[in-house]
Amino acid sequence: MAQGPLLQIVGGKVIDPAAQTEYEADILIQNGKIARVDKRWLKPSVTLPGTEVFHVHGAAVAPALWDIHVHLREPGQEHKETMATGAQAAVRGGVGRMFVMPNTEPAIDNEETYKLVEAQGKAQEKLVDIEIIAAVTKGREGAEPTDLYRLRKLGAAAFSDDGAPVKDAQILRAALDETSAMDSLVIDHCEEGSMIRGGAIHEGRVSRSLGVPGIPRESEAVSVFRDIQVLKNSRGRLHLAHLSTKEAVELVRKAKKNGLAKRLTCEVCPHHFALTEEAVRDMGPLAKVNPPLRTEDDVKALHEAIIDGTVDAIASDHAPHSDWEKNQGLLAAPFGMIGLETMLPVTITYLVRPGIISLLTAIELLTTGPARIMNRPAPKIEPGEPADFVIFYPDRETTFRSFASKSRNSPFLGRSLYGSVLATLHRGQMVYRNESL
Amino acid sequence: MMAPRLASEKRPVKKAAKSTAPSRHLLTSAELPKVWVEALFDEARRFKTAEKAGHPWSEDLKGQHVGLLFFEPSTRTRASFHIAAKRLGADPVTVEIAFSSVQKGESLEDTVMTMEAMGCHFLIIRHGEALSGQRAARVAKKAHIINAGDGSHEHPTQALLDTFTVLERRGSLAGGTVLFLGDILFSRVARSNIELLKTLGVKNVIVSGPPSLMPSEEELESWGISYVPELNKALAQADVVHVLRVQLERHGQKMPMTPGSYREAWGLTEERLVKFCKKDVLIFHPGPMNVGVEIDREVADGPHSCVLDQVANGVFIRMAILKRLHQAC
Repeated sequence: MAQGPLLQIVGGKVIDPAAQTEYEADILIQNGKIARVDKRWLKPSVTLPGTEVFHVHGAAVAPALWDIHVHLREPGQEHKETMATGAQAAVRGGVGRMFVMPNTEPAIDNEETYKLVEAQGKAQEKLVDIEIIAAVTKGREGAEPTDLYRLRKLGAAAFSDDGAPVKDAQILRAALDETSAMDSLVIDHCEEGSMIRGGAIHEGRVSRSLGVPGIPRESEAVSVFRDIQVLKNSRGRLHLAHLSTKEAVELVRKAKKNGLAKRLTCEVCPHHFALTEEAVRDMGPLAKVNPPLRTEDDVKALHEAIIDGTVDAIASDHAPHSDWEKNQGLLAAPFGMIGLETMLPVTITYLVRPGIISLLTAIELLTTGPARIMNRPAPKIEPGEPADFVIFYPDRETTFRSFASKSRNSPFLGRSLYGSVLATLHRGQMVYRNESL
Repeated sequence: MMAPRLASEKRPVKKAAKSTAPSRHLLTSAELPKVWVEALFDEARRFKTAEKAGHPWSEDLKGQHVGLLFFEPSTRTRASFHIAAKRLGADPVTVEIAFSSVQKGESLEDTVMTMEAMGCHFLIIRHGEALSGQRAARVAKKAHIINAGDGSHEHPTQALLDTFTVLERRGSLAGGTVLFLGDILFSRVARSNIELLKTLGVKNVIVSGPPSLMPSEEELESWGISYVPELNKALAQADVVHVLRVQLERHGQKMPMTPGSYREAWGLTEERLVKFCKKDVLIFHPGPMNVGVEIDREVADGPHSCVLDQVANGVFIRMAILKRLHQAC
C-alpha cells in the first residue's frame, strides 16, 4: 500500500477520555490514521523529514466531538440548513460525527427518505460522519409505528420522534423491545403535550412578567416518569434527550440507582446548563427553545447531575431557523437554536472554567459518553485509530460574530466564549483551520 | 399397542388442582394430571387404530347434544369438534353467534344456561376473553364445559393434540428441546402447550421471537422457560418447533415491523430450516398460517411439517376428550 504524506501535530496536550489521561505528546498521522503518539519527542520536538508539521503549542488535542442531537433541515427546509452547511458548522465546532434527527419534511420514516438523507450525508463524508436517527412513528405523529427493522437494516443508528415525544406509551414499549434485538435504542423527547397549551417559554417569573404563556416544568417530569416506567417493563435501551429540569435529572438519577443504569441514559444541552429563563428578556425569540431555558435552580441541578455522572453526554440540539422565522415574536417564532459551533466553547466557558468539571470530563461528555450511548467503541488516541481530532485553545476567547451554519439563531451571537477551535481533523485531513488563531 | 413413552421424571405436584382429575370440564392445560393425559392419549390412539382398520365408529355418545358456542371465528377447532361429536354418535348443535341473542346483549352465562336447558350435554366454548370457560362452568349444572380457546389465555385441546402428535412422531419427549417461535405474548396455544409439557416432564422449553411479543422476564421465569433472542441459536437447539401466528387482532395496535421485515427477522424460512435446524426437526403450526410471514410455504408443506397431522389427530383427541368427560360422570 502506498504511504500517504505524514502530518505531525506537535506540542499539543492530548486529552484522551477513553484512557482517562492527559499528557503532552506529538502525534504522527498517516493515511488517515494515527501512526504514532509519542511523548519522547517533546523536549525538544523532533520532526521527521518530509513531514508536514502543525505546531499547536498551548492547545488541547482531543478526539473529534460526537454530537448525538442535531437537526439538519434537508429535505424540506433547506433555507435553514443543508447537509453541506451543517457539515461546515460541525467542523467549525470540532464535531467529527453527528447524528441527525428525523424531523425533516418529510420525516425520515421510510426507506425512500432514509436513502435520500443518507446520500446527502455521504456527500459530506470527507468532512464529517453523518449518521441518521429514524422516526419511531410515521410522520412522527405517534399513531403508527415505522418499520424499525427495515430502517435499522438500512443503517439507522437510533430511533426518535424528536421534536415530539413518542406519544403512545405502548408504541414506545414495543419500539424499545424491538430495538433491543437490533442493537439500537430509542431516544425520547420528554414533554407531556397536554401540559404545553401554547406555551412559548418556561412557566415562571419571566413568563409571568412578560405575559407569555409558559411551559410548566412538570411537562418534562411527567414524561420522564412515564418513560422510565415503560423502560422498566421493556427489554430495550432508552436515551432521554435534552433534559432541562431538576425533577427530570432526579428521576433519572434514582432510576439508574435502581437498576436501570445500563439501559437508561440522558443528555443535556449547553444552553440549558449555561442560561436561564432570564435570557429571554434580552434575546427574545433567540432564547426560545424546547424544552425552554429554566431557572437557576434547574441549572444548578443540571450541574450536579453532570458532576455525579447522572448525565451521560452533552449534545447541541442544533436547530437552525431563518431570521424571518425567529423575528416573528416570542409566540410565533419556532423553538430552537443552533449549537454545533458553540457546543465546545459553551461547555468550557460554563462548566470547565468555573471549575464545575475538568476539561477531561467535558471531553468525555462530548466523545466517549455519546459513543457509549450509541453502543460504539469509544474514540481513542492510539496508533491505528482514525485521525479524527479537535484541536482547541481552552483558555482563548472567541467572539461569535458569524456562523458557518446557514442560520444564526444563537443566543451566543456576539458573545465571547472560551475554548476556541483551532482546527478539526477528519481521517487525517484538516477539514477546518482557524487562520486567525 | 404400547402407551406413549412420556418423560419419566418425577416432579412435585404444584397445584392442588392437579391432584384431582377434571371430572366434568376441560378448562385448562394447567390442571390436567399426567395420568389423565396418558389415558386420553391411549383412547385417541385406539380411535385412530380403529379408523385405520376400517371399524365402524362407536356410539358412545348416542343421544347426546354437543353445543358449539364459538364467539370468535374458527375453522379447525369448530369443525374438528363437530366431526368428533358425529363420529361418537352425538348431535352437534352450532350456535351462530352473529345471529344469536348475544347480539342483543345476552351474557355468556345466560347463553350457557339456555343451551343446557335445551338439553346440551357438552358446551364447547371459544371466546375472546380469558377465563370464559370458568365463567361457564360456574353456571352449568350438569353439562361438560370444554374450553376451545379463551382469549390469549389457554387452548387446552390444541395443546393435547399438539403433544399427542409430537409423541406419535418422536416416541418420547424426554431430553428434547421444544421451541415456541413468534408471538408468545398473545398465544393461548403456547401457554397451554407449555403447561402440558411441564406436566409431562419436559424440561427444555424455550421461546424465541420479537422482543415486543414476548411476555416479561418475570412471567417467563414463572413458566420455567427461557427466551433465546437469537433465532438461529434457538432453532439449532430445537427438536420441535412450534411456529405461532402473529395475532395482530389481539395486539390492539400495529407492530413496529412490516410482514416482510417479520419474515426476514423471525420467519421460519426454508433457508433457515436448512441452515440452522436439526436434520430431524419437527415443525408445528396451529393454524391459520400467515404463509410468507411467520412460515414459508415450502416449510409448511415440507417433510418436517406436522401441520396436517395436527389437524387429523385433532379429531381423535377431541373424540377421546368427549368420551372421557362423558365417562367421568
